[in-house]
Amino acid sequence: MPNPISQANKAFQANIQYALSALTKVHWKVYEHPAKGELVRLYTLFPPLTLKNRLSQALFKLSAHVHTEVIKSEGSKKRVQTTEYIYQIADSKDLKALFEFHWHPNKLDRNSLEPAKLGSTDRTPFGRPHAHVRAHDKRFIDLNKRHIPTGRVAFEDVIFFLLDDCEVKPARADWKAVLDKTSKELEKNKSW
Amino acid sequence: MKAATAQKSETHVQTTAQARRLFNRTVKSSLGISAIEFISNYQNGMYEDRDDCDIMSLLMLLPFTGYSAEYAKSNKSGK
Repeated sequence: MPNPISQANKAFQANIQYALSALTKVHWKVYEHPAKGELVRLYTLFPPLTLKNRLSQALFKLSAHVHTEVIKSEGSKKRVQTTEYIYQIADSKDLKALFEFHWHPNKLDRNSLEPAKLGSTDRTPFGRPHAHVRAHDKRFIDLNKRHIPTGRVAFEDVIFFLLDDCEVKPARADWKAVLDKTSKELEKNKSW
Repeated sequence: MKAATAQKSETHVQTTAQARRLFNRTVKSSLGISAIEFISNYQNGMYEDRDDCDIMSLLMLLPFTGYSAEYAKSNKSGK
């Protein structure tokens, strides 16, 4: 009988990899927790991906960390829940962050160096989903270090932003259909 | 360490040693200090009130490096 934890991870990984295929042929690197094994995983895009425009000029560097846990679903079924994420879009030349989407609600316990048991004092100062935008336009306030509130941002949303709004060249012609499909899959399984 | 087995190439699962190398490199490039120094600083509360999401991204990697088991302190040793 197939292991339900492995099955849940496999389904999640297939979906997030398919979403990434809109942008690149690179694969996510997956790390498993040394003690908890495949129950707790970290998906990373690191070193950052270089993103180019249609003229093959480098525009951005994209890096991402997505922390997941396998949780109980209906009956004996399991599903994967995203528990933290950090997506960063940086300038391709000086590597300075331009846009960042963060959700890191859990403090790391200073003694055990593992995520703290959830309680009000164990939350990080900016535990709600937020974005950082670095802007230099003097007409506006300095946005550096501001935590601009967002809803939870799916990786698909970041890819869509890059392809639809930031002139990044897609890796495939059907990228909109790909992201539409993976977003629907995410909608079915997400807990928020 | 369960994850410190050979890389499962079909799922791109990396080893704990690879996680540690990534962490060491990232700490060095972000803060210019060693991973061990960063862990010691964190355990001593140096980053406690710092509004810095860069620190958070480093902490996200830490549990996958095997350093947690190596450097964990007992809860009696003063939080």
